[in-house]
Amino acid sequence: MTRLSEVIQLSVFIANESGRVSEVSKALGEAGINIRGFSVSDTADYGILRLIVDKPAEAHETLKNAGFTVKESGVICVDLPDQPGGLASVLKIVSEAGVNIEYVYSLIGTYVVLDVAHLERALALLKDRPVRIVTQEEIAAG
Amino acid sequence: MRKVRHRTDDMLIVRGVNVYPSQVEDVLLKIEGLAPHYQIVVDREHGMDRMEVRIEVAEEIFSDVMADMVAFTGNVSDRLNEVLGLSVKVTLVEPGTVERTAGKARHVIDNRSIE
Repeated sequence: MTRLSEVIQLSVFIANESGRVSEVSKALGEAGINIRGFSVSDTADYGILRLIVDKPAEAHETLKNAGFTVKESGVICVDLPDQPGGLASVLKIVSEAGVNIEYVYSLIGTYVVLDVAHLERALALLKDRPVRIVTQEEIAAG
Repeated sequence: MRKVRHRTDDMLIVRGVNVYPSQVEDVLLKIEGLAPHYQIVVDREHGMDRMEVRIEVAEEIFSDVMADMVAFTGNVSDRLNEVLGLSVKVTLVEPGTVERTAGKARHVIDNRSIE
């Protein structure tokens, strides 16, 4: 069950071997799942692939069945003003609201994902601020 | 007499230190939520033994925050160092990577040739 305004992110543990990210994207593609955005963090030995997809539950199941270690977590998705300084203005609002960002990456179009330390508190702090929070339904709709 | 803990024929000697695979297993089991498939790999480079512990990443230990993962491997490495008195490289690997014989993990791979 998705809480109001929360978007589900899937994180996948990826060994540092050629073709692993390709296998993840192939499995999702074959299952009819659309990737809306992703990011990769890596060390010398492994990486973490983070994905935002249109059907998170199905994607989780697909990747698990393909033998990957997958974790779901809640993140905030924000729609940026499509203009110079758009990202800066939103990050300023988030910072002024007292929300601490762990990491950030962009999705399709003007969407960005923010991973924050305390999700519900962060959503409450941002509720009345001039930022447009994107819902899971909007992610699915594309 | 102390409780029988090890089979001496399982023992490895790494840089002159006696290492029992069960010691590694004990360290991993003591870490909350962790009953992993693991493998000890010993190599010799330029006459120096090198020990690596490969741990399969199960959901319980996987985090989407890289700092947590790095802290986890650091913690395991520190504990192994304390218990064994050896520096050990800890590597996280994907599930199913550790070699299994008849369904059981093969816990030790010793690549050192006799010199």
